[in-house]
Amino acid sequence: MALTMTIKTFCRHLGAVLVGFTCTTAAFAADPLNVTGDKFRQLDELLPTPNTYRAASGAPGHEYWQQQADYDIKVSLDDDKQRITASETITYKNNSPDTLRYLWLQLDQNRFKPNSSGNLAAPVDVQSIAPDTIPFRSFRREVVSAEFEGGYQITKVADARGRDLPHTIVDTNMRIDLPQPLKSGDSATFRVDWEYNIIEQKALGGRSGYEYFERDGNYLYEIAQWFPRMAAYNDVSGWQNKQFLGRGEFALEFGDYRVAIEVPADHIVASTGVLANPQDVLTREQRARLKQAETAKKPVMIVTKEEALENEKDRATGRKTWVFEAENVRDFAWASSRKFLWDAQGYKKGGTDTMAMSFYPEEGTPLWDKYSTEAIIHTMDVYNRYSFDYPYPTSISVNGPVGGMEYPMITFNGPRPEIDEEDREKRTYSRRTKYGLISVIIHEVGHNYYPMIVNSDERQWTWMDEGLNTYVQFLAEQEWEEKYPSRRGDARKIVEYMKSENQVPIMTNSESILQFGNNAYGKPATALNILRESIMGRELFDFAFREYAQRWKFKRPMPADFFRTMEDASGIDLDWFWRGWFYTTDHVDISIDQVKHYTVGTKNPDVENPWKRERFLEEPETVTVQKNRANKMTRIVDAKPELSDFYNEHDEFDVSNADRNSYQGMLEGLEDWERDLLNVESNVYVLDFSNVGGLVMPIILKLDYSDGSSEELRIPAEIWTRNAAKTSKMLVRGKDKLLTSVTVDPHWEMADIDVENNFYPRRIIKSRLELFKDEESRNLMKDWEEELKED
Amino acid sequence: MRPFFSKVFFCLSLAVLLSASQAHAHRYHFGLTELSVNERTQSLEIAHRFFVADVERALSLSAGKEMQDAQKQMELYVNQHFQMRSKAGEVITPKWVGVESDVHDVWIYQEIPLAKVQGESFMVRQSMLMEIERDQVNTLNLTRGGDTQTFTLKPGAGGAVVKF
Repeated sequence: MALTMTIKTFCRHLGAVLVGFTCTTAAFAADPLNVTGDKFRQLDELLPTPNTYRAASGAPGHEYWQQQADYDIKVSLDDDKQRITASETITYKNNSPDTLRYLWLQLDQNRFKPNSSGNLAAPVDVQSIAPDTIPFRSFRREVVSAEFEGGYQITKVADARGRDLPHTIVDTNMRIDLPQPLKSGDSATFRVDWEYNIIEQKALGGRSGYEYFERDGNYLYEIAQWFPRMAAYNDVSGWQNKQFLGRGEFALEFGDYRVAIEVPADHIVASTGVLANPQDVLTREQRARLKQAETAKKPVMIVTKEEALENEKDRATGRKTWVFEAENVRDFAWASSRKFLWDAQGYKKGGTDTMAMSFYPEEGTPLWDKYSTEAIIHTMDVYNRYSFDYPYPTSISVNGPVGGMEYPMITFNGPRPEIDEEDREKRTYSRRTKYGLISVIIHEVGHNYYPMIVNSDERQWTWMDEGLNTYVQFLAEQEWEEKYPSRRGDARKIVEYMKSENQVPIMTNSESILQFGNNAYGKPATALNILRESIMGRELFDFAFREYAQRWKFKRPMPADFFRTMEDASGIDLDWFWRGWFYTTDHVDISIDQVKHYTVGTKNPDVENPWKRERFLEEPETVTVQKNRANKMTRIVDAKPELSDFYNEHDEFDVSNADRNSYQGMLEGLEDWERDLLNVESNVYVLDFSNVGGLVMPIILKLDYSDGSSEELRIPAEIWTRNAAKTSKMLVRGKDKLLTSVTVDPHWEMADIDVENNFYPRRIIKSRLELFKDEESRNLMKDWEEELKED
Repeated sequence: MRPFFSKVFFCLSLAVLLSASQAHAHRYHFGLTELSVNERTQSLEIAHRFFVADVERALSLSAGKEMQDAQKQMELYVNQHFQMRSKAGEVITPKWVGVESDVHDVWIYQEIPLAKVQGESFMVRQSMLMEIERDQVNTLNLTRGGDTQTFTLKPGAGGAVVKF
């Protein structure tokens, strides 16, 4: 059945095969732009012209520069009012070739002012089913936003000698006007004092805030975007002073930090940087444990659960100051609470010499003590291989109200086990919570590489850190355990999104992205994975990707630098791939439309004519012939034999000597190689494809033959260069290789959105809902109860 | 096309619901409803795909402490938020098929005989999760033959006129 459907056309003449191809050539030559589109056109007009700052190879140019911003900060945490009071001295070095008359600072906390652009521009929540109701959650947010005195109170802006500097606050930015223009190569030092109320994270969201624990009356603080900091100034955007609306994250400069954090004496502080005064804030016991952790094979408790539970009962009256120092970081964050348990384990490998540490309230056990620090170390182990050796002295994971957020050396991660309210010792966590925690830690710790060190501009391009990081996250997850339930990475997981029409290209500014998770995380991560597994190959891809990370670590790459480096280091023209996947919203849908079967015509009448007769006899008899036979029809030539002659004895397929002579004559006129070709006993197949989805991609084929064998064929995307809408491929196979079926993308590696047209002959593909209905016997409620139990 | 997924079903016990934690790295809220015309089975197949954590949170808020039958509760919630209203004002409630989930996503299935909708226009509302997230974006895909038509639904604009 499959066989007869496959053999569509019988054509005995080699000449006919060639004619077929000539026709295809003619079709695209006549319509060079419309049919082919310009899918392989170079990205020239889309990419900025290379210059001395950014080279055409994708590497930093020979005059690459970036600014430097060093901070010396004193901060005090008020645990009664959940309030920050602080003062900083910023030393800003102008490495640009330009003279700057003013400086821009970012005031991220101002997003939480009731009249911030972020709040004003937030759309109203209307429940579409019941128009007169307002949902609880959004109502709470609106009420809290309106009542909460959020945002910075800037109390002083002064130069190094304490003289006030004129400054203008523009929503989430502040411009400081300099008394003298800051020349290229010079530094400016100035001071800013400020205060602000810490937001309750659960009520207002955001990337930092406090959590209140009703049971023991304690607070846990995750503090970030907490100091006025320099806006980025660079060769591409000048000042990056787009307002902070909540989505587009941060564009920051590298610098050195010294931060003195004053907190209640019984708090434990986790922070970016290295603790400079352990003797002032840690017990002798804690310092000894930290020393032991440096070479430990598993995490060592620095503050045990018993100690933390004891600690959270009391309220110290004194204060302590923790001093942290960090070099070459683009941001600084910290966390503080008397609830913290603290574990640590050293990790040394290659150029990495660091301390992995986790801080969590006892509510995080028994999940955090088991997985957090291990996940940090695993992340570095994998990311180092694909990027560069982790250069910082610590890497921290803190459990608190924030679901998942990254800062240099420190990350905030949310998932916790469930606690039985009657018996607090009874704790369970679901499979989802477990993998949710491991994944979020890998993701946030991974952000140390992208964008904390490969310092892309998050305010502009979300995909440059989220997409690249989600890609490496997938690799790290797959190295955690077999069949790790990764959300993103595999081509098949992005199909539903790719099919949707309401997309914007990956190359879209952060605030304008429509489906954030799919657009900026899922699609670029999947695209890179496809590039690696199916287009470039692991070796070439890994080399080029690592080259990008190496070139741009501690520097600020732009999209073109990534695109160019990947080509520069691999020697593969990928403009068509970037164009399709990053600049358009096309999807992959390749259809196999037809398979034509040819065999070579020998032109020898003694071979060809019997073959033609066979084909003729294979044709079904007409109904007339059948009925005439059934009626035993008599014919006149049977009654009168004298009416028969030569033609009644020889049919049209019989070979005459004239045929043979003409064949010999033809053979003599041929070259030797032409004669040889006529005797090739091969099956020739021509496969016709159409590109329904628009994205040009390699065509991966599985070919099944009647002898039970099958073959995989990988045709590069360049098959679409002449005609991006339709293309054909000729396959020459041995005389025994009769093709029975063809499958396009048999491993689902191309994110092809329609599987039905991937089969020749076509197959019926059951829908997801049909498959679900097929599995009737399962007991949903019983499965729902499935939970992972731990003591 | 059906991705491989482990057959893990999400916990709808009350304890889990009330302490549902958010596991994604950053906050973004997205749901997908696929309306697929299946000529072979003469059915309009409806598949809603949402993040498990978000759906759990929504259910816990809408259920209060009385929640017993998780599937019933889910059905109630979906029917409240996903609605198809004909031009004449008649509301069609799709037949409930079932629910499945993996670690990340929950799929909710419903269907309507094709004859009931074929050739007609409906106001389709899909406002699931919009009551808890102001930046929820629900995408509605109508798939017929090989073609996909997409509608983008957001709080305040949770419906679209769809011709089947």
